[in-house]
Amino acid sequence: MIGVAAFQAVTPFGPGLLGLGQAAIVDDAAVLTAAGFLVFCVFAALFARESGRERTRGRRLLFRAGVALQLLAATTLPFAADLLQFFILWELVSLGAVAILLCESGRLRLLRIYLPIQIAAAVALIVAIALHSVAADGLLLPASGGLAAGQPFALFAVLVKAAVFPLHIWMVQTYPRVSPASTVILSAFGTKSGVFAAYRLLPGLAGLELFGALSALLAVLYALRQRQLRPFLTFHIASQIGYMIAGIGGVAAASQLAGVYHLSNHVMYKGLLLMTAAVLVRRFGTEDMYTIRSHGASTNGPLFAAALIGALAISGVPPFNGFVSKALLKAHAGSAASYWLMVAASVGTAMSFTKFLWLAFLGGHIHKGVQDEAAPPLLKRWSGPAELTAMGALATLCISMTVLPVFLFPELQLAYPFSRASIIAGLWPAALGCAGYFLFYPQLLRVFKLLPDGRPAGQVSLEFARGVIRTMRSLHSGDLRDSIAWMLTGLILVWLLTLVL
Amino acid sequence: MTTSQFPVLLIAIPLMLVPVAFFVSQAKLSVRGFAIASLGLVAMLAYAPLVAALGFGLVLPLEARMGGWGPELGIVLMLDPLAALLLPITNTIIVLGAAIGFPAGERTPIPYFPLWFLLAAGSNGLIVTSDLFNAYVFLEIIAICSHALVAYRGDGYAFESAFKYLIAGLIGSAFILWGIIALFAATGALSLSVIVDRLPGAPPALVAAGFSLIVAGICVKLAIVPFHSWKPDGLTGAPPSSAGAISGVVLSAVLVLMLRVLVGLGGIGGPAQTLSAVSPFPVILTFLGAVSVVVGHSMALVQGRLTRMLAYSSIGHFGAMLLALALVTPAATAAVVFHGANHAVLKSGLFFLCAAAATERGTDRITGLSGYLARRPLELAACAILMLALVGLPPTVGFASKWAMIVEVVRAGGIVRALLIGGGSVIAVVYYLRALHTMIWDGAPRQLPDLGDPRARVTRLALVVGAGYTLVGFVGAGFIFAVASSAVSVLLGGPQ
Repeated sequence: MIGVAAFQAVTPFGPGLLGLGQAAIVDDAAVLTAAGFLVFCVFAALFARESGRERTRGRRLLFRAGVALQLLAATTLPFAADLLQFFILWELVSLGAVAILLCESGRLRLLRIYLPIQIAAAVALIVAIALHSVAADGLLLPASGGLAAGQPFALFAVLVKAAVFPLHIWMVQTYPRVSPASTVILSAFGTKSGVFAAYRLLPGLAGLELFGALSALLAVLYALRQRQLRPFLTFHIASQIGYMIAGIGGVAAASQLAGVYHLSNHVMYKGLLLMTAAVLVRRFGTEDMYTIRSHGASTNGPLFAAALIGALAISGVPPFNGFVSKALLKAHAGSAASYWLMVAASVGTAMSFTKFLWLAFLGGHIHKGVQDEAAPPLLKRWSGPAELTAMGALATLCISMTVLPVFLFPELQLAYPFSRASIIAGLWPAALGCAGYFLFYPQLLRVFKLLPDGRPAGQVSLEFARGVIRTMRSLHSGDLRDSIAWMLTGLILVWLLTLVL
Repeated sequence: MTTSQFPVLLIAIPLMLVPVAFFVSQAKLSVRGFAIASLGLVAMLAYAPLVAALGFGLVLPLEARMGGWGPELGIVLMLDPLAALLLPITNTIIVLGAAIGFPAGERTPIPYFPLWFLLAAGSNGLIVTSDLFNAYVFLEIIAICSHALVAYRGDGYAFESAFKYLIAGLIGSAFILWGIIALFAATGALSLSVIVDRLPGAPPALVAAGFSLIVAGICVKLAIVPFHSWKPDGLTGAPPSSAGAISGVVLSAVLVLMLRVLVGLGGIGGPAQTLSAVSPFPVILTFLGAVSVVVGHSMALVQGRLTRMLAYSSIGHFGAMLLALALVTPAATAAVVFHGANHAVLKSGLFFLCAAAATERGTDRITGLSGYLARRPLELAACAILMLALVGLPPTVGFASKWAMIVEVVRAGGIVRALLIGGGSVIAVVYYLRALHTMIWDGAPRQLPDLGDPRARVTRLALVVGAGYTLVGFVGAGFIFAVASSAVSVLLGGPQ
């Protein structure tokens, strides 16, 4: 509770805003999430300043408004105790993202993907809220235990908003297609608000743990195939969200809190990684890791250090923050299956970040099967001072957040995982993944290529829907004989069902 | 004549006016004013039961026994809350539809107004009748005049539409007639109240055959997939005002018949269950409803003509109603009644708008109507409100009834049904918004509204009435739902 007091002292965005003072839920999870968002946003805004100079004035203002709106809404959302306020804040987070997307060049295409998805999620959420209000006779959110009714709708809303693996396609199609600084901002708030909504609305939902762990693994397999930097990192967002959902789906309160802790850690290290990606993309003018590799080993020490820290943190290597939350998640895993799924996802994460570091920084070349690209001319400078400051701060947080929660959250402290066994348990999947990249990557790649592709999957489902409608249209031939045949078929069908039942 | 004989007036007055209107129109006099005024009189009569029940303590249901037949065969007219709720709606639609669709020239190819009087007599009769044979007779009256209304334009396309509609209507009527025969053979009665009492002792095979035939016949009339293929074709060739009346009036009347047979007789179970312990009809209706929701809405998505789009969307709406009806809880059934009443108003409102637009542009293709609404704020507002309501978005009565359906469906444990109903609405958002977008923004308005045409004024009146109901009904949704609930409780033989 020290943390609560401290947070209330420092933040203007906490309880009290939007009339939340009377009915705010102030608990560890809310404080941790809001603080994570707040601290991250300070540095992300600092980072975005530099690239923001390239925008026109109007776009810059819109961008800032979007960032401010997202920050305001996302830091207030965890404290909302009234479901309608919760819904409004959830929508404001989306609205901020829309403002940010409006600053981009391909905004119509982006919004065509982003808006319908968010509207669908919002509709599902409002249905869930209405059902809850009918069942619980009020709009107050229970402090624990989640919704009293309407869970299927809330589940859909949350899975879409949080971009959990099979429903992540909208994220893969929007986040990597905006300017790099916008990716950094977008990646923090939208999906994480969805994850937090899962914590508030559906904690301990049956089956969610296994589902989350499975989606963490599957998303990693997709991430491993990616050559493009930001799609690669975006698939990893989906994978890490799988971990969080797995934690939140656990029955134990400690497991759910660990999921939220992982959320907060993830905001830091994924922000850091996306910032390094932003600098790399600007410097080399390409997203392709193999093209970047063709420039040979990178000489930028600070950038490499930032990428290394981010990669170690996301892979769950001690003593970085990702290690602590992943160890807690594994320790509280409800079943052996979800435990081993999470371990396997850790191996995959380590493998893919070995690839990232090896190709983008170390200029490594060991696999003959993969075609090299010709080195294009270098475009621009490395990172500027503000960007370096932001990355340095986030890197420091990736280390310091390892110990910070010890003082803040007694619930987590009980199972604090700095034993020898847990350190070994954190190290060996990372080592296995690292070695696996050098030994088996081409073979594995061949297997991963068999997975259905994300974008074609979208196209395939669209094609399927079109095919169904085409078939339906061809059945509606307008021929009277066909109509009569259908009616008689229907009658026979009704008779058959009457007989059978 | 006592109060209890009042329902007869609703049928007899329009019936008596048919020959009058016929001779007046044969005399090549302008019959418009006379006809509209008489239809308006009938509509005012149709409001009477609801007003009397609400304001003057009239106790519904009101039962009128006609012609001195025995209780088994007796011609029984029953004015229950269900009829009191739907009669004002259907009769208002008839008045407005007749006024909007009136042909421009003084000489009409076939007598126009007699058809509308017949439609009024038939639909009022079907709504208040309480015995099966009369239901069949009124169904045929409705069929005859609506076929003529579809063919009214007289071109080849209209005749094709009318022919398809005719054949389908005959098949549907035949199914229903055979079903009635089977039920009569099983129970020896035609009056619904007698059949209810005799069903437990009746041979189950004959009863099941009767119900399944009636269900199939009603599905043809309501255009439930796979009995639906006549509907888009049948409505496209019709003048949109007639299509609006068919969508609003005929479907509502048939819905009443379905509720009387399936809910009132216990065909789908429920508290008045009189068939076997597990009736097959909930499953059948669920199946048909689910297919209808999917097919109706997704076919509406790919239509280029506004009337076809609206016709397919009706299929989806009735599918949703079947899904809710199949749950057999009284509350879900009340939600169905509520939604059915709303659907009649909203859909015919849009058809009337379509009629005005098609008259001006000479086409009902959505692309051909581009920019039609751009300079018409009233039409634009009404169209947007009606479409929002059909999608089921607040603040409209359509939201209230769809919401009631979804909540009741979820309460009865039908999550998948709720998802289907909601999914249909999501598709509906797409096609309505697309049509609205085209009608507002694409292209420039080619022509300013012709204020001289009285039909345009009536169309506006109709739109104001429809949109007004949509908005006021949202506020008074609780009240309409209460009427619907009492209608269902009367149907189920509960406290009267």
